[in-house]
Amino acid sequence: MSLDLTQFHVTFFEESFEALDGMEFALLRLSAGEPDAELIHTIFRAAHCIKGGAAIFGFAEIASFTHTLETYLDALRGGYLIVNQLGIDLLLKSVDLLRSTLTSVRQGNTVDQHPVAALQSDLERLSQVVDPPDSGVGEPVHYGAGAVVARPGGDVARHAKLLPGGWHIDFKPHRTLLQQGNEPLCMFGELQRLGALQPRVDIGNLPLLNLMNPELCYLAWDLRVHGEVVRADVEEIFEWVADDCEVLIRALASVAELPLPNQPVPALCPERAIDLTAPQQTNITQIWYGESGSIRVSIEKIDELINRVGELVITQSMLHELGGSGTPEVSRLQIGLERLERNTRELQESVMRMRMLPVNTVFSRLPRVVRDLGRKMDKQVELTLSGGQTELDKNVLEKIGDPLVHLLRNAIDHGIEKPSMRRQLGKLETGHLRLAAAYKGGRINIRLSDDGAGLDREKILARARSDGLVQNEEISDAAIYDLIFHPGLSTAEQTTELSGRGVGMDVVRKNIRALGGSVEVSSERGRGTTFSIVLPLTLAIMDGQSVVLGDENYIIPLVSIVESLQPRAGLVGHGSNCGELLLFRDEYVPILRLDELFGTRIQSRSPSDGLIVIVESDERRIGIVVDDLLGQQQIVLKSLEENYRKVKGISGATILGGGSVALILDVPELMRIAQERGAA
Amino acid sequence: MQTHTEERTTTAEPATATPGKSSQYLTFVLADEHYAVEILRVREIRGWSPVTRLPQSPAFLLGVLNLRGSIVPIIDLRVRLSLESVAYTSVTVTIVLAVESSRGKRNFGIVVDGVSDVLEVSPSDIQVPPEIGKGVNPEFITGLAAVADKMLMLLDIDQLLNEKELSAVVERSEAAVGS
Amino acid sequence: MANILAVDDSASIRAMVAMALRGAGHEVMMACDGVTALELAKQSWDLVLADVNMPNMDGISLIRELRARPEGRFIPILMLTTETSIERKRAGREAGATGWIIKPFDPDQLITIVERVIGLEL
Repeated sequence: MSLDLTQFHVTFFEESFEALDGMEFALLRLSAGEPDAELIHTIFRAAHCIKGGAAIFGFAEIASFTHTLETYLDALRGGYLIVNQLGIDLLLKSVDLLRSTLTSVRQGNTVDQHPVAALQSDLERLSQVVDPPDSGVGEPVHYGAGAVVARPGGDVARHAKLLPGGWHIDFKPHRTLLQQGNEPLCMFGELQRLGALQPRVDIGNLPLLNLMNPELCYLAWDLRVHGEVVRADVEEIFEWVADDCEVLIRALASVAELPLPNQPVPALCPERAIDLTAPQQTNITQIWYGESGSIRVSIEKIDELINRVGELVITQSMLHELGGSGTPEVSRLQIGLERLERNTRELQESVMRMRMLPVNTVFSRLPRVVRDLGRKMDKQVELTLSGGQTELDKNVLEKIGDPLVHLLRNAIDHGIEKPSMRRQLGKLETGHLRLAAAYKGGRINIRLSDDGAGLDREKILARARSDGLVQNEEISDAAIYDLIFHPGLSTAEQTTELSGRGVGMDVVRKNIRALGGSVEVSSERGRGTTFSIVLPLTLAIMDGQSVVLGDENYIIPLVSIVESLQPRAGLVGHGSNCGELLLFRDEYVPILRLDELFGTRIQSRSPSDGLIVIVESDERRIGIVVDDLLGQQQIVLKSLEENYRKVKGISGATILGGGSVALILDVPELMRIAQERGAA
Repeated sequence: MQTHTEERTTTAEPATATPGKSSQYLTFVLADEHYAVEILRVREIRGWSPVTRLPQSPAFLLGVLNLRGSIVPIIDLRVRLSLESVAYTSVTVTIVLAVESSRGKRNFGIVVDGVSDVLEVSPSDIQVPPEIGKGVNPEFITGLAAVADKMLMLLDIDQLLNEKELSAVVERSEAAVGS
Repeated sequence: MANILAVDDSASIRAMVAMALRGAGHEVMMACDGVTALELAKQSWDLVLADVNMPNMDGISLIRELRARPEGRFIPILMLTTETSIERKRAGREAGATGWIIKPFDPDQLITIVERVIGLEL
């Protein structure tokens, strides 16, 4: 019997792309000269997984390439080679090449063999382990352009795979260290100049925030400087603080049998070390590969399930209406129906949760972006991610990648200063970006902060004044910073290919608002800028207000409703050329007649006959005339495009309790329509 | 709603045409004419139930219905084929069809006067349509077939909710509203 | 017909192995890593197929763990491996593997070897 192997190709491609994502993610955490066994093992396993599948399913080129990759990684894994920058670069290139090759193969296109062969031979060259000329203990052998460091035998290298030698420093400052004018960060900077530094911070003595005195130092550090470092140089650094701390300096060889910290910190930043010890950070490399306990289900199947559960909810509510009252049997039935209702709701929630994915699926590709941009801009930048497990709907997730990349770009281009400038300013040369996600009252909050230059208040204000965006009035800092989201405003002295001119921030805000979210900025000159994005967890469920228009029901998303009111006749007027207006809270709000727009019948001839729902989007308001308000309910958004097409002014539909369909108003679009009409 | 519609779908005795090549068609009546659609394209037959009107939609689009959790557009086939409209009766039914469009699989419903039989039609029975009288738009008919004493018009369902035409119609109606 | 437990971290290979063996009339249960496999190992199996390189406990450790349990002492265990090095094979054998299948293999080869090992070959 023979089996058609092509049926497994889809799975093979999916898992291979996933493995590449994981490989890239791990590679970006890997630092030259600091071979982290777990990371290397993860990278190896990813290559191995692709190779195994490729060989079985007959993709010979991919199998051959990943074999070469695996050989190199195996040498790293065994400690025969130590990973260097060239190696990391080649591995990242391999990830890109494998991605494009897999894409071509999947689409049935021919693969350009040339780059594959070239990279393959580079990797082969890198993998050649040369035995040291003599068996001098632990003497590293450099050859080529210092490209590869070979060590005598893998076993010797098991414990400390960093450059041999170095010092282990136990640094316990007294609380008063900072008050004496000492800055540990500067000392660590000095240490880093001596050799590769692995700092680890002890936050065990950190009090609760409300008990914390900002002038005291509660931290202690465990520092390892690797390389041929003279003890006196280390002592010299600590000489200044000798009276304000306890320092114990030991040769690293004497502590080599101690396990290295699980997560070596690639570069200097004690702040970062705190994050790495947080539990949600330490297992970040496992998320992508932690396949145990999960299965792969296509989104269609889940949506199908969601539809079925929706039907169940409707059936349940039909039964509920049949209920009635009277005999004991009926009241027993009622109790059962109530239980059924609760169960159905819970089932619906669980099913909706199946669409939720961790935000890491987007975060994980950002370190690469930061790395590439940093190089392009000659800036040293580090990105710390946290809260990657926060989950949100696939729909939302797919749409926040671009805005986030844009904000990162801006932060690196305009925020983080060049290393020389940072040094002058007394900052660490490496700029630091922090991207954190967290739940915040049923929504997700994503914050991006940098420790760069901060926004230039005066420059923004000057620019805004010259563009006539603001007059000479008093204006708060927050309002000034908010101007950066205004279309056309850019204050960068040099426009660069990265951030362009002024285009962008307005688009970022627009895209985030289109998702029902908001973005705000805060900044401190010289200290950095923070963007805070708040997004709904899902687009699929929302709270809606049911309204009656003639003989149809429509749903208005509750989030956009400001107020519903019955206007007194005197408050409705006509603008000179822009239709009806309503005086609402000292402001004239245009009135939109949906019956005219949609061609539906409406009972309320004039706005004051019916009700007006004031809705808001993009800081603008309009009033929508309706005949009546019905209840508020949680609704599941269904697409009209799936079987039909987009309808102007309608964002989708939902199924009501009785099984009938109600259309959901697209408030931002109605706002645009009202504006066009006002302008016309 | 489902039960009585299924009774209406009766299976006819197999035809004697070339085996293997013939296919089954669901036939229905519209303005005293017999029409047919390939049975494989039929997802469901249901009694007439009220739809939710869609704004700015062409006249032949009655609105949308909930079909097991997805939102499905419903076409009045009489209007679509430029036939005279009639009031809906108890035998009026909606046939839900599946088509492959450039944007994937889509479902929509057509409202017809009533369904009749499922018939076997072999390719040799089908003739290219000559001039069709009675005002039926020939673009929706792929062929004629004489089967079981009936002249069947084979409906080209892929054209009924044609994207291009739909866009043109909708843009016209949007423009009309906007002015 | 035999009850087979197959352990591999690659979803495509799992799918292929399962379909091939089921096609040959066997009952197959799949696990994606060693830890999951040990959970499943509490049931009785006629054969275990174990990939070597896996997250959450590799194949060699899995074999060692299985052999340390009363229910796993006598089950035939085959390693699925791309690694042809003698060291890995030796490590596998020392851990208690019955034999190995070198990847890539095709479905027919897999069935032949599996059936030979469980003695079902006619």
